[in-house]
This record gives sequence, C-alpha cells and structure tokens, in this order.
Amino acid sequence: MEPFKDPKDALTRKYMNEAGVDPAPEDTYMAIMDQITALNTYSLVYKPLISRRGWALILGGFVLFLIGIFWLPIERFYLNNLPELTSFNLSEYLSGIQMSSTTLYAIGFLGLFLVQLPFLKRLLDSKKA
Amino acid sequence: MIKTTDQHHIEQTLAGNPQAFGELVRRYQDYVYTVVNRMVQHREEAQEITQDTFVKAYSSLTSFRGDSKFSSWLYTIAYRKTLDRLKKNKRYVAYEGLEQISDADQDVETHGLKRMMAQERSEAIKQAIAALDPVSSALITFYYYEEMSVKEIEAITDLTADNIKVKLHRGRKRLLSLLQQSNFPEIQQSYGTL
Repeated sequence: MEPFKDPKDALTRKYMNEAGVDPAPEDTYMAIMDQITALNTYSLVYKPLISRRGWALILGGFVLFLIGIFWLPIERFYLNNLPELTSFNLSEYLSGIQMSSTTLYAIGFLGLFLVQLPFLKRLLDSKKA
Repeated sequence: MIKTTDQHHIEQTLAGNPQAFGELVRRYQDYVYTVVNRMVQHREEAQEITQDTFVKAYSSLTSFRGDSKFSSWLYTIAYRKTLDRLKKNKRYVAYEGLEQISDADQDVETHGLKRMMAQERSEAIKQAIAALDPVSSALITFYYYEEMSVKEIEAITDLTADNIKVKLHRGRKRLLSLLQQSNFPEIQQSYGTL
C-alpha cells in the first residue's frame, strides 16, 4: 500500500499497529476443530440401513416368491390343506372388534403424527443446510 | 521457512483433509477475533462468532472461488455474522445512539486512560477503538491495520466507496480525538485541537 499523504492517516496506522491484535482465547482453535470434526462425522455416518445389494436380494426373493405362488404346483404344499385358511374372511374377523372413541382418536392422532414426519424431517434438513 | 499458501491448504481441505483447514484457523483466528471483538465488545460473544465464522467458511469452502484473498473472504463472513448478531441483540442501534451521546461523556470515558506506558498505550488505543461504533471500528481495523484498499473493504462490507471514506474519516477523527484526550503527546504537539 502507498504511504499516506495525510499525516493523520499515518498516525492512525501507527496507533492501530500499536494496538495490535487481540489474541483469540486459547480454546478457540480446539472448539473450531471439534465442530469441523463433528460436521465430517455427521456426513460420513449416514449409511442406508439396507444397502442396494440388500434391496436387490429382497426384491429378488419377493419375485421368486410370486413366481412360486403362481407357477409351482401349490396343491402339493401343506398350506393348501388347511381348511380354515381358505375360508378365512378378514371383515368377519374384524367385525367382532370394539373400540372406544378415545382409542379411535388416539389412532387418528398417531396417523397424523406419522404423516407429519416426512415434513418435519425436510424442515430440519433445510435448517441444517 | 517458506509459508505454505492459503490456496494449498484450501485444496488439501477440499481433498478431504480437515487438518489442513486447521492451519488456516491457526493463521487467521486472531485477526478474525480482533475485528469481531472490536465490533461486539464482548469476549465470549466474539469467540462464539469467530468459531461460527470458521465453521461456516469450512462448510462453504467449495463456494470460495479465489477471486479475492482468503482472508478477505473470511472477514466478509465474520463481518456479516457480527452485524447480524448485533442487529439480533438490538445492540447496533444502541451503538448508533452511543456515538452521539458519548461526545459529551468523553471526559469520563477517557479519564482512566491517562499515565500510560507502552502496554498502557496499547490498552488505551484499544479502548478508544472500542468507543467507536461497530462498523467504524471494523473499517478502521481493515483499512489502517490490515492495510486493505477501499475496494477490498467495499467487497467485504457491501458499503459504497464514498460511504466507507466518510465513515473512515469520521472514525479516524473520533479515534484521534479520544486519544488526544488521553494525553497522547504526539497528537497534542502536532494537531492541537482536532
């Protein structure tokens, strides 16, 4: 930088140099590095619970299961010999259940809560970003 | 010893070595803290903002294009974070008021700044800087201590060049006036009344 023309500027610089820097408190460096390490840990820790390979295996298993149901001679299997399974009627079974209105409200609120979850997650993610 | 450039540490950090960023923290933490502390006048708060500044710089490092110096980029983050904090705490407005009131209180303010030796002089100057409003103290630090140009300060603060010059002029005048009242002999001899 060029020297100042105005001596008051030069004097001000002299004083500012005399004042020097205010050293940051000793633990500043560690605190910063801790936060940075935490940021890295956060980004590395994320791993999907089920890997792509896992999903491929599950999907493959499911497809095989469907193929098995439709193409294999099911008469041979013991499940086919269970009479109560063939005559099983879900609506008949559920008609016997009685629930209080409090329980119904509770189930309703639980449903609402579950619906909110993806929105809350998105909100938190956007705040974090 | 050759000092490794900021750019080298930035590249290392972006390549996945956070310790390289640690070197940048060591290099600039005192400078960033100085500017922030002079603006907020509160050690703990200044430390907190300094930390936030470096963490923000780390997480946004990919957006640093190298058009300006790394230190200028850091100061931009620090300056804006500090202003946000002051506005949030409504202390910025209070400081604006203080600037007007304190002219009348200068005698009281500077009463304890007399009888100085080398270290005391430094303390007295720091107290005089502390008596300025936050923006002026930052501008004076950037211009006179960091030896930045008005153009560089423009980029950091988003103020116009004319505005910066006016604030620098007023800030310098007030600083010298405070120091004059603190019996800094060279001002007394050279300038009489400012």
